[in-house]
Amino acid sequence: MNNGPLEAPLALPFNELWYLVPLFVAICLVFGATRHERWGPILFHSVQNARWIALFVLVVFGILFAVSWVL
Amino acid sequence: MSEDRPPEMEEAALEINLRQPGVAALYAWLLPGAGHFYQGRITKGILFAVCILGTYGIGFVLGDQKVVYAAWEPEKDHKRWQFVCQMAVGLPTFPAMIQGIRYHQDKEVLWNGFMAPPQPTHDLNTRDALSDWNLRLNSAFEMGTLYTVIAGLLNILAIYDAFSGPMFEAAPQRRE
Repeated sequence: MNNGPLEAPLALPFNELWYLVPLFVAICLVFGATRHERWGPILFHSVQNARWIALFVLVVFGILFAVSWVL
Repeated sequence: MSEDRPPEMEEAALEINLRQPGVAALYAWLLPGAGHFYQGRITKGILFAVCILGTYGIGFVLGDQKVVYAAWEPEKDHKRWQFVCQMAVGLPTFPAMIQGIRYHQDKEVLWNGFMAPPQPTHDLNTRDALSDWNLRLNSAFEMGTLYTVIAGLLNILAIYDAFSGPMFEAAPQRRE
């Protein structure tokens, strides 16, 4: 409860997109680790996943960019 | 012997001692990576612990320790469904469970409100705690929530891995 003046908002210090990078790394590594037992295949699978996710994000970005361009 | 096997088959032929899978899964839920340590799968345990606890910790700090709480009040249109995912991280969310239970039993919250649900206000001239957090933390509240939710979802994968081992992919079939 608070009826006093607002404290200064704790805005994120970097662009929000930068905060997705650690998530991206953690998701790829954990997903790779659930598919393999050794480090080599885990890292290989993680890099493959990272490529697919990056491609997916780029495609979505491209679609949204094209839509915003048309509108 | 192993040189003439493709790497996928070589890995699938690994014998992994899961010890007692149920116990390992319980440990994996209580503390990410602990189930793998129990099974002697140290490197994977470290990987899960660092990735999952790291993600959870970053989210918790970004959200100024406000983003993990248990509240389910449909009559006030306040359903913290994110906590269902967050509680998969295990022990680090136990304070929120305790606070949530106490809150719903109309008991005083503990530890100076640490991980307690936002307190409502009965005065129309004051902001309630949840509005206050959203105003003050702004997008950091959303980002902290996202991190802690994803940490929980990742730990579900780790619990499954501790229970039944890795989901090896079948080697691709060669076309003749």
